[in-house]
Amino acid sequence: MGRIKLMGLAVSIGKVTERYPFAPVEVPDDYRGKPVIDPGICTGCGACASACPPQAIQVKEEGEFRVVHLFLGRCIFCGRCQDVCPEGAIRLTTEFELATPNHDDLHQFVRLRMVRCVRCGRPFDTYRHLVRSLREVPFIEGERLLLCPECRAKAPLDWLEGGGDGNEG
Amino acid sequence: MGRSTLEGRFRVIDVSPDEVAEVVRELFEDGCYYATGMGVDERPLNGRFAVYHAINCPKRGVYVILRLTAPENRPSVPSITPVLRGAEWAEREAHDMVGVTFENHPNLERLILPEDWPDGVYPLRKDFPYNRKMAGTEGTAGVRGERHDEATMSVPLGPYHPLLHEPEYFELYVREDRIVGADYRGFHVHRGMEKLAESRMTLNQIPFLAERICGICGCTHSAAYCQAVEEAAGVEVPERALYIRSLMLEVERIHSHLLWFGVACHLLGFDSGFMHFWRAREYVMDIAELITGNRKTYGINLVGGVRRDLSGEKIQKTLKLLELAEGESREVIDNVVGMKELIARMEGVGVLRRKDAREIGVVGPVARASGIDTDVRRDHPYAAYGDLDFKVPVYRGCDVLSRFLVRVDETFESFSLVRQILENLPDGEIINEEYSLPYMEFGLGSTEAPRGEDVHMVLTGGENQVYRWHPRAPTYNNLPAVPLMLEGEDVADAPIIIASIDPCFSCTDHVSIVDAGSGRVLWRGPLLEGVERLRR
Amino acid sequence: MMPELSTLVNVVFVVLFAPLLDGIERKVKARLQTRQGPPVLQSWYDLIKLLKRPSVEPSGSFGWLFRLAPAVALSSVLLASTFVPSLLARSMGFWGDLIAFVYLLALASLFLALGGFASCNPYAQIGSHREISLLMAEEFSLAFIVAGLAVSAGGLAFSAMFPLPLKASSVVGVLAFAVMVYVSGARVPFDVAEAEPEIVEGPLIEFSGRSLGLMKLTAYVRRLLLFTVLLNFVIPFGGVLRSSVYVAALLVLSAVYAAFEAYFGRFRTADAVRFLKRFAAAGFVCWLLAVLGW
Ligand code: SF4
Ligand code: SF4
Repeated sequence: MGRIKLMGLAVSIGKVTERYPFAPVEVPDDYRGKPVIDPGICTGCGACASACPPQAIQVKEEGEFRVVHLFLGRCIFCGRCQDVCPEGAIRLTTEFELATPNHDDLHQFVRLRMVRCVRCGRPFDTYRHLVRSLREVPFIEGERLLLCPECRAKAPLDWLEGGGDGNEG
Repeated sequence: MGRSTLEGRFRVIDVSPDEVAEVVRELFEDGCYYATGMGVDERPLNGRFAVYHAINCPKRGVYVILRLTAPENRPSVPSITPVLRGAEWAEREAHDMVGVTFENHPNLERLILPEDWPDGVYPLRKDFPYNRKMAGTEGTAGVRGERHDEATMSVPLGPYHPLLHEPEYFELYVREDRIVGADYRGFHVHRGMEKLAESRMTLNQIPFLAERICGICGCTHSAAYCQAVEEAAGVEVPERALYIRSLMLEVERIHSHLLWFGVACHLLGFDSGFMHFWRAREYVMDIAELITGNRKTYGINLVGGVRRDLSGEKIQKTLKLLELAEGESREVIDNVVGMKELIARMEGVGVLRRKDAREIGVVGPVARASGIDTDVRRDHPYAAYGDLDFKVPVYRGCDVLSRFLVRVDETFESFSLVRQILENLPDGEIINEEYSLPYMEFGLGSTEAPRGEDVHMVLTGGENQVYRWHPRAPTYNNLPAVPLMLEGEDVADAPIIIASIDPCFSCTDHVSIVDAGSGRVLWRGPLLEGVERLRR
Repeated sequence: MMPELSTLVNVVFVVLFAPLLDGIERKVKARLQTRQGPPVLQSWYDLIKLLKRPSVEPSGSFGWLFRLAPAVALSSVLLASTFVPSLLARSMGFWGDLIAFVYLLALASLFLALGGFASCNPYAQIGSHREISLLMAEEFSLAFIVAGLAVSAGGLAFSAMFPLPLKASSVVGVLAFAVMVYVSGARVPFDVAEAEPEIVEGPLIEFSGRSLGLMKLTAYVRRLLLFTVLLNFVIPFGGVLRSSVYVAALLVLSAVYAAFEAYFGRFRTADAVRFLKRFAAAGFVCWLLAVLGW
């Protein structure tokens, strides 16, 4: 009798449903949960924003600052941002309980001060990103480094091409 | 090391309007069936509209793509529906979305778009901006359907019904306890995915959108999309990536089938069965979580490969979970099959004859339960399936029980496939990112989803974009068969019959609004009107 | 104790205990389905919530019948609970007998079905049709069983039937009656009238708030009374012992019934009716035995 056996099976197995939310649920370490940006590392390069499928991350410029804005309400927890971030600044955590009565809990803003172009005065890159690119392309002379891409294009081409372009990941 | 598994998967043939009907008839007689079709606005390229009919020829292991074009000022091509009725929906869809007219189509009415959509506006044409909002109007009542006599009651099933889990609408015409006729009206959840992808997403963002076509078998969609692009761009995919893709596709199939068994039990009033199946399924969800970082929507596929590798430790854990899942599934299935009242409710119910199944072009377990021996994994090997060993179960009962049994056999084949994959996983890279995207290259990717053949067609757009993307979920081909299955059955059996195709309505709907099956036009606001009719 | 007072105790007990019994059944089913399950008081929580909410009347319904149905249904089961001895053995026995009991319960079912018809919802129509067909099939079997038991006990009065004399006919009759208790409790596979995945609770679909609460309470009380009559056929003694044996037996019985319910699939209506017609044979055997004096 199939049904008797199944009944016995159920009794021998006991309860399998969790007492969640009264008891915690375990997830693996590399679970794709809430993404968090480390504001101490992020350079504001914007790589994550252009990879993010639902545009949950947007990079905006507000006066002196570049703002990396992560809105969890749009996030699909795919982890593409983590894949492409050159600094390892954004990581998906194991946290998944994101329901909240407070909309602000769903936003993360990373505000990064920008460098002004010494020629035209326009803020064009974050300090941190500039320093970061310096580490990779050490030959640029100080003066040109502080030019925005447009002004640099107009300047005489006696520097290594592309090396100082602050908008590259 | 790397290889393109998809070589020779399809052949695009430009056909002239005069010969298309003849070609289609010959293909059908040769054992091919209508897979899907799309309309394309190719005006920026050559000033013409095009229609691509994808015909699956399982015996020859190839998709024949018949391409018809028509000039901008007279966008009209002959319909192939009179020769092959499986083409009906696709042609109506192309008519609504791209504005191509099909001569001699038996039923080319306004279908895809809502009744109050303005004439002459075609959302998938390239001059229609993706974010354009149409002025909202009140929903207008459609034409009243066929009238039945006094003794016939019309019973609405949907748009909201506990059986459906998604907004869809079946109208059953019932005399006493028998269904004498049935109509289907679907596509209430249009999400404009194609437009979104074509207008504002990049090549490697679309897999994540494709995955969200379906909440149950999403991985198969992202795989089919990636394959279509890889095919178009000639991307070599590393072996290891192909194996991991197959692995996740099979994990997905097991979870999907176990889910379905549970739902079937629930529909037959046996809720304990539901719990037993879902308990076994939970191990499979754990496997997915372990490998991909989440229980569902694995997010594993990208063009050129996969995103996550498997460590030895994960393989060991997976094998352990797999053993538990297989053991418990086996035990539960064996015992459930011993429950006579359940089997009695599936046997001989919801019959779909082989002839109808062929003409409509049903796919997957529905086709295999009606004696059609087809499986994309075997007929058009993709991912790692060419190297793997598996059987394709075929039953000839044509009823709900056969569909149940096909899924039972498939589930255990999948367990064996997962084991084979884990044991033979080749070493190497998991993704190839060195490729360039050509302009206007056609690609077709197809997979055997848990519900049947899943086809994605892509026209590349160069510059990290796709020009045209047309996904077709299996339910799109299976649904038109449901009214046939329902006719003459007991009302009490309607739920299990509808469920027997394992319908996935949102997947079908991502593109259009159609009423079909019998082709009769239904009316809106069904529940209220149904009630009103009763009161008269 | 005065009969009026003990009747009052019985009615209060039935009303309070019936939803609790349902809660216990839910827990038993949960255990058999490897689930945690809701707290035993869940059915009570649900009821309280429903009773606090206003009911909504569907626009096309026959309002008065739709409003009346839950009240009539509940009143009939409550009336039955006044003369069936439950927690206390003494009750207002002079009020009614087994026939009155069976018909009061049938009346409740009838008004459930009528309420469904009155709502004019197509699912409710189907559900009510099913309810009526099932009811008629049940009555057919029940008629033989009641007749058999009556002959065996020498009368239809509860005083004669509780407990039944130990005879072959009584044993067959009680077993057959136990099956009928299962069937009229609208349990799977006989819950065709309410089949949630098919017709969305059938006659109940349009009921909401207070009126749904009353309908649910009716169903719980009905199940409890059916158990009670079944137990009364066999519990031989009175007093405190009776009360505790009765409650314990109730719990066991409902656990067993719940277990059965958890492990069956649903019949089609026609199959259920066919089963009941065949089952009438058992009632016939009981009657025959009784007539023969066994
Ligand atoms: S996880 Fe995905 S959706 Fe979320 S922020 Fe990162 S890239 Fe965007
Ligand atoms: S990719 Fe990384 S460094 Fe760049 S903006 Fe995003 S989080 Fe910051």
